[in-house]
Amino acid sequence: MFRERSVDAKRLGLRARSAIAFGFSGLILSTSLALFTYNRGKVYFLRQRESYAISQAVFNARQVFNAFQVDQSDPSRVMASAASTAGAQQLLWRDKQWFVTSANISPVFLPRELRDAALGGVATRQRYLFRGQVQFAVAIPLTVGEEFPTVYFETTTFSELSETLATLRATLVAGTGAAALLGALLGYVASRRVLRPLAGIADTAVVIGRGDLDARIQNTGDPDLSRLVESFNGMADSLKGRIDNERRLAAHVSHELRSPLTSLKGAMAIVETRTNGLPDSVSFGVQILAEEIDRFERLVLDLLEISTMEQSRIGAESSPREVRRLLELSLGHLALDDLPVFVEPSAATKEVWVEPRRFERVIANLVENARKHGGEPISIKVEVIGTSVVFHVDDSGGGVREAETDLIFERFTRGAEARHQAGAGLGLALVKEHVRLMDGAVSVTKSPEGGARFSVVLRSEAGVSE
Amino acid sequence: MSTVVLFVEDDDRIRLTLRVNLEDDGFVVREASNGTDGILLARNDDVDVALIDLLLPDMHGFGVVREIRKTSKIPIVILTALSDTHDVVAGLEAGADDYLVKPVAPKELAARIRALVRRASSVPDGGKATEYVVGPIVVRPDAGMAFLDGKVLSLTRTEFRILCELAVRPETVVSRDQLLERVWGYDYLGDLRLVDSQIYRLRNKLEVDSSEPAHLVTVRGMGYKLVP
Repeated sequence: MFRERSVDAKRLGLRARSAIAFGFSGLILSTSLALFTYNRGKVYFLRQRESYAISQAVFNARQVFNAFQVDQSDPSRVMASAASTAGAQQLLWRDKQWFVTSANISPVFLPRELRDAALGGVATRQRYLFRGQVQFAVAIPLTVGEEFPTVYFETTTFSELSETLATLRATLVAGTGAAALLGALLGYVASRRVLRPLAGIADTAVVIGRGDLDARIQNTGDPDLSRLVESFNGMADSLKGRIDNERRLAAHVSHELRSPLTSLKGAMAIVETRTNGLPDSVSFGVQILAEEIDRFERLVLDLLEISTMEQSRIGAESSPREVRRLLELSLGHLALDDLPVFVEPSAATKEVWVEPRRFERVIANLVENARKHGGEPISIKVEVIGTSVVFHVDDSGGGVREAETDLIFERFTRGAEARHQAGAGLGLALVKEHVRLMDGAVSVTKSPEGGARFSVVLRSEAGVSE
Repeated sequence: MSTVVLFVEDDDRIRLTLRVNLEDDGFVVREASNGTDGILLARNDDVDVALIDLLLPDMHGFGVVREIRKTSKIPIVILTALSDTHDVVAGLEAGADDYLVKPVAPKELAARIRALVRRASSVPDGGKATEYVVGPIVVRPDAGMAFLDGKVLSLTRTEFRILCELAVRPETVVSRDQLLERVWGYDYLGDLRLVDSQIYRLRNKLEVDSSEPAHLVTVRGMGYKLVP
């Protein structure tokens, strides 16, 4: 039932389709009605007009017949004296001759079938077209049984009727058009009203998606929507329940991992301060132990960090910080004061929405990544683009392959060359998550020095509110 | 005179290794492996600073903090395996002055404890006057005392320092970052919850109704100020 539409095809929304459907149905309905009305009307009017014309003709024919009873001599005089009807033309066929009352009419104007039938003694009538006008002719034989009967012909134009019908047609067409438009409008309005509660649901879904798991939809009391509202809220409840369970598990796991790490570090510190006088091999072992414990600690903390980040709310702890001071403090904390930093003048005093601790982690990881996988010299550049402040971490290494620019931000992936190196491959994934939670974005391109450029885009105005 | 540290931690290995490290750094360490013992030690022994783990077998760490605070003003650091649960805030609001997240580098731990003790014994920079009056509140930085409606206020050192910072510049907004820096010595990459929890405690001691503070008011988006 649902076929794949081509991605490029423009899809019409529900409102547009509803408007079209209603408009179309309206059009069909009103067209059918109009056609039916027109037909019945036309038939009726015609019939009325024709029967009137016929009774006229019969009346006039009788007049002529009576006149002939009185005086049989001159048909043309009879015709001239006979009553005439406005708009009607009269002809008489008598003694194999045609007699007309005006110069406007001629027997050849009459349809052949009519003449033949009438001259054969049959009373006939016929509607026909003559010079673009609708005409109606009645032929009444006045005598019966003779070889050459006397036939009275009367023909009238139905021009008024034509005009009437034309007006009727125009009105019906206009009505049909109006009905179609109204239908379309009705469809549009009706679908908007139906969609309005859905907009509320969509908003709530967005809020939940950003991490606020307590958001629910208010039940509007509408029985048709209540099932949707209940099932949506139920889904959000079960989602929250599951995430809460995961949180509890994560908390437990966190505690279970952090405790032995603490005593490891503590024990290590005890040993490290007591290596004096020990054989070199032991000192060497102690040194390796210390380094590995540090590495292990880094790994565990990164893993714990990334596993809890999905449950955090975007922008929950962000606040505006001045760019220059933020960089100063972060780099100071990370002992990266000697890293070359170029801040565009317009960016220096701008305020950027960050969580300072996350920002520090981002810089730390990007610089570490540049050192491990890129190459010196490394530098940081800051510029303003639109309503955002962009921080670039540039290195002079080999750059990142086009195909890997999205992949490197995935967890546990490392560039092809880096496989043999130490590390879990979480650094960039953490950067991506930290940046996401500050409602920003990170991407990688080529740096001016030919290496990689990691660009972190952060808002410079209040964007996300709690 | 060595500083005496009360260390309440149920994990034996953590407790023992960190004790050795603290002793290496010149501290004297009194140990307790559960909350009840910790409270007893705090009451009976002469301790200068307490280091309390939040996850204890017999009670919550912040319960221990609360108990100790009933009779003592010594600086308290809480130790936790998690940094963003309600436990940390509960511990701070119960009266702890600072917190550390495990795993903690022994050197870091020693440095923090030293900084805490140093702040506790030093006189806050009170400015020129010996006494500051803001409405019913009177603060004497040199004497380390504060009064509300003439009655002495029982404040921890941290609470007192915050009150000083606000009283010395009445009706002026002091940002949380500034308080964090001046009172704890952290630049603004520190945890603002430290400030918020002490403000909460101060309000409970100063205000008739802490939910509608009349003196220690919040200025949204900017910080706090003390008004008469």
